[in-house]
Amino acid sequence: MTAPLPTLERLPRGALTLFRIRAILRMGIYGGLAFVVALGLSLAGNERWPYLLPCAVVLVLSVLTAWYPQRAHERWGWALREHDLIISHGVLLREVVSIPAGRIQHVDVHQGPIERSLGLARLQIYTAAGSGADGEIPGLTRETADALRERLVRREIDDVV
Amino acid sequence: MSSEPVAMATPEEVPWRRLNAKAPLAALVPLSGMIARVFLGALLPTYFAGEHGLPWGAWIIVGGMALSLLAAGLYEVATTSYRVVDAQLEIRSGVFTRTSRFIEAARVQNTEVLQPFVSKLLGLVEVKVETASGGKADGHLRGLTPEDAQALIQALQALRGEGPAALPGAVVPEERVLSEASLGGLLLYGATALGVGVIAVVMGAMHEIIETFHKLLLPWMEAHWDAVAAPGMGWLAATVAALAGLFGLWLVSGARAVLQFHGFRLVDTGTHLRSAGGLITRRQVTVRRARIQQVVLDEPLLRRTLGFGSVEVETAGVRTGKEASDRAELLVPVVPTARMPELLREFVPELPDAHSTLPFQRAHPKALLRARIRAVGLSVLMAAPTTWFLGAWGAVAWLLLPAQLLGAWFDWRFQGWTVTDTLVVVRQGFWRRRTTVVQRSRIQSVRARQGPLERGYGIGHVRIDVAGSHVLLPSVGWEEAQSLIDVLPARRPTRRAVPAPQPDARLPA
Repeated sequence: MTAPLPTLERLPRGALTLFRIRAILRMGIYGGLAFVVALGLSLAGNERWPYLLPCAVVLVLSVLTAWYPQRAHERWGWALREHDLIISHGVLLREVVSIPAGRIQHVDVHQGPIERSLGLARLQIYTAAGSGADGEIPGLTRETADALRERLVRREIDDVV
Repeated sequence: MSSEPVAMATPEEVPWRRLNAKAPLAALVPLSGMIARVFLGALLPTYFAGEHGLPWGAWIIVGGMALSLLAAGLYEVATTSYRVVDAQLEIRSGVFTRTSRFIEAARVQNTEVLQPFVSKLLGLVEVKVETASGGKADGHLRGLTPEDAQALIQALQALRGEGPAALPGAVVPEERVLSEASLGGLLLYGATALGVGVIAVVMGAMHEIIETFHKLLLPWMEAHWDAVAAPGMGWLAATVAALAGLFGLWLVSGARAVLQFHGFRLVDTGTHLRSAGGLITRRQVTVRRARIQQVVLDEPLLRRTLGFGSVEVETAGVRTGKEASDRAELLVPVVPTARMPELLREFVPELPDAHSTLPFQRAHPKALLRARIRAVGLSVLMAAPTTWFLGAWGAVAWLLLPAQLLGAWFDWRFQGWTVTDTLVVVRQGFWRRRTTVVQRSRIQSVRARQGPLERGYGIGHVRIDVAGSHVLLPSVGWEEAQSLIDVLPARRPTRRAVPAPQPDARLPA
């Protein structure tokens, strides 16, 4: 039908660290919430079995933390072509997005505190299609993000929608 | 504002136009309604808690907040002014905190003129100007005279070089009527559009009726108990109740359709399509032909049998609503099947004469297997507990299984999609057939997706986004889905806006 998808650019090694830190933080937050619920149930007179809940949450999330970030890092990829930007990602729900050149309305570069400490940035691409970002690439080095943003916004925008 | 052509002038020379003096009065009802919805959360506990309800102190706070919000809303309407200058619509409101909004005429997707009941009594209308930027109208002017509203719309059209005022002295093209809706057609439309909202209204009404007549019915039933308790009377009562409910549904749905579309008329003004209709609230929508993003032909089985369907036209204006017909910027409620191709070509000139005979590609065969497994799973999930709790009568629920399997086959068999040089046409559903036509040059993004279950079958689905809407293609093989993201958007030569040397995005590793 057509040429296969191009070879995709992979995320830098630092992105894997970012994904792992996020997974650990997520485990801490959900584990903490589960502990609070267990504490409440325990104080309400349910002896000690509620404490199994945070243990189970932490156990499941530990397994996920060990497995998911590596897989997610392998799945993320992007390619900037003459006529479009392609982004591929997803472990459970796989997705390949093509955003035609000239349809991009604006591009945001975000840096949270963890990303800033790792020298990474998240690129968000917006078209006129909806209220949210149509494409997102996390874990890019700041230089790559800036260079990619520059190339994307310098393309000519088609007529208004 | 007068209706003469808009002359280009410097911003200082163009005077501000105020809304009509009666505008706050017209805005009183809709603003009160909006605020009442906000405070419904405070009223509901009072209703359910009976006499206890909220303490009086809370009532004072809630009432005070509601009145403050109402006063702020009315104040904003009273201080709103507008003008068309420098190819922009400029709207200004507030005195202490002044807000100015600039809407570029070229960015306007469509305009809407509304005349709710109170505004009609006051001889005023509301104007909504939509761009592609958000979930509600960017420019909303409440309380204009109809002449001012039309003059404003013409001024915006003139700035784009599209309206009758574009070239002074030019011959104004004659308006062509494309579609009209008769009362009988609207009643049929209503009778075949039974939504959840209508069911809720009818159920509520029946509940109230039973409550009201309870005291009258009970003595009558006790007096005629022998006849009422006779064998077969239960079935008769159930049948009568079902028929009465169905009749009520048709009645409410028909009335709703007449209220929404009475006197509906769609006209072609050359560069624009203008529809108007509505009994109590009259709504006039003007859509630029060049801004049409997607056209949907809605033909549920019942309507197909009766020989008509509806057409929804989407622009990039983002409208909210539960039903697809509510989200469409322009809806033609009744279109006879014979006239359908002709009308569709008015919206999409590139569409072939007989769109229904296009060589549609079917959904992937594995999608049928997936739909069948889901049908079996759903049927077992529903029938097994029913049989457990109701015994022999509950076993009737197993009839769901063949019905679900048949439904799965019908839904799969009548899905299809095709790609022409300029269009993507997608057909979905048998019971409710919807044919979506998207211009490939309007595609904003295409995404191929594969969930964990789809991966097991080696299939995926493709979503096409256009401004303000989207359409899903029937399931295809995953390889094909990935290749389609390359095929579907129309290619256009891409030029750089700034011919400066560009950094290589791949350089930093």
